[in-house]
Amino acid sequence: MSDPEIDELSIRTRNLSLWYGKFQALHEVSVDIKPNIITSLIGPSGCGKTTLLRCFNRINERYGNVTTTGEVRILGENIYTEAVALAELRKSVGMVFQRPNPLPISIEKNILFGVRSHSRSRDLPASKREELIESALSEVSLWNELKDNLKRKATTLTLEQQQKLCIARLLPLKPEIILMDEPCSALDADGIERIEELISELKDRYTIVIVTHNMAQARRASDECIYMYLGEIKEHASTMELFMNPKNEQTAMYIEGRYG
Amino acid sequence: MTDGSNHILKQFEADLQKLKTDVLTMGSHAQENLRNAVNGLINRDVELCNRAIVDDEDVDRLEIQVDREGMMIIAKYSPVARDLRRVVSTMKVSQNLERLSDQASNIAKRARKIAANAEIPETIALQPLFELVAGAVRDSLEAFSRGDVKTALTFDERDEEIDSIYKDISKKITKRLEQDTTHTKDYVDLLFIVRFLERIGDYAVNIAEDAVYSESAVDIRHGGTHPKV
Repeated sequence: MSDPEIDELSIRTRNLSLWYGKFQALHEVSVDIKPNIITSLIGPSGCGKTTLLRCFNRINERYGNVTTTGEVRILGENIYTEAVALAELRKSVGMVFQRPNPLPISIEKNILFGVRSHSRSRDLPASKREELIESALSEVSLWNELKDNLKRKATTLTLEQQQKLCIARLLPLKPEIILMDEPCSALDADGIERIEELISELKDRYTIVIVTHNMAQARRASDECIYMYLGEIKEHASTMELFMNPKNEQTAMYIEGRYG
Repeated sequence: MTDGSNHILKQFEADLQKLKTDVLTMGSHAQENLRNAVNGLINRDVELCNRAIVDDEDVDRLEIQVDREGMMIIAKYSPVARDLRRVVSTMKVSQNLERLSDQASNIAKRARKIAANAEIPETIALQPLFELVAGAVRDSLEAFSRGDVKTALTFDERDEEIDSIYKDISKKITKRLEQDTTHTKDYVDLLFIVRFLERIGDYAVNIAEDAVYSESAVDIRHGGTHPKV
């Protein structure tokens, strides 16, 4: 029986466990991530936050020797079944990495790369291509500064521009969810501020999940926070609640920067 | 301000501890000023009254110091959760202590005037109210210092008791004011003093509320629901 509240969730996991070989990295994780908000995954190194993020578009499977049990529902659909087409899944669940990774080709080709691999060329006439490029670059506030240099090699851009471009190139695929793995860690203070501003603008249209080591960033930039420790979710609450009045003692110790 | 666990940054721990020590020092100065002012009144001791007035400056200085230290901690360490609540609550306690000490100084100023005139017997009638108020201040600071939510949650009843005695004494003094026109000014001063003491009782309630918020994150002000203890 379908439950409207559950159907409205962007991501729902139940008893999700994951092993790298014999090492269990996630333990029975059950979490509900709401649409159109920014959710941060926080916790000490090795707590499983990046692993959990990578479960949301099954990118963990690329590493081999990975065993996953339990359920992950994206927009109501269980993605750990054989019927799921990975290419389609990754269209609706885009990912941005720690270090900007534009392809060493032009800016415009970077934008079109994803959409080209998902469509036939006759479905992408020149006018449509231009429209996609302008709209994607406008959404990440790069259009005005780059519109006259679209043939420039993307790897010559500043790191901040490269990261924005990496976000922009997901957009023509019309994703519902954007996963970000420490998207600001390679950037300077100005770059961080502008990427955070961009993420905040994007949340009206996309569900955003960010892994961050930066507590101040989690506080500033996210609506909800999930604290993980040793592969388990210890606390999931609104950011304000979690940073003002954490219910879990381990969460409190971590965010306050205390030793146990 | 430790929980048996220490901050990774030792200096943060030390700065939090210093903030707490300073506000408690401020508390002991403010209490002494109150005691001196009331004893000055009851014993007609102008010297004690003068001390309460002059020593109020120590409390003022400490208020500025506590504010500066609190702001520095916020700016330097961006505290969250318990640490943030403790810093903010400490700064609020400091503000209440400054007002409390101001009221002690006001009591002392009126007491000096009363001492300059012929003695009136009603001054001694203030003693029970003073004992209640001074006890409330002491216990609120103790609750804040120890993070004792249970004690801090008893202040509604204590405030009612203070208010009731305040009304009782005010009535008696007003009655004397009507009967004895030779001491009109003294009775008016005494009425003010009783009012100041009642206000100090309110500051103790504020401090107790800050103690509850600091420890439990529950805001009980203005009839807010009490946390479970």
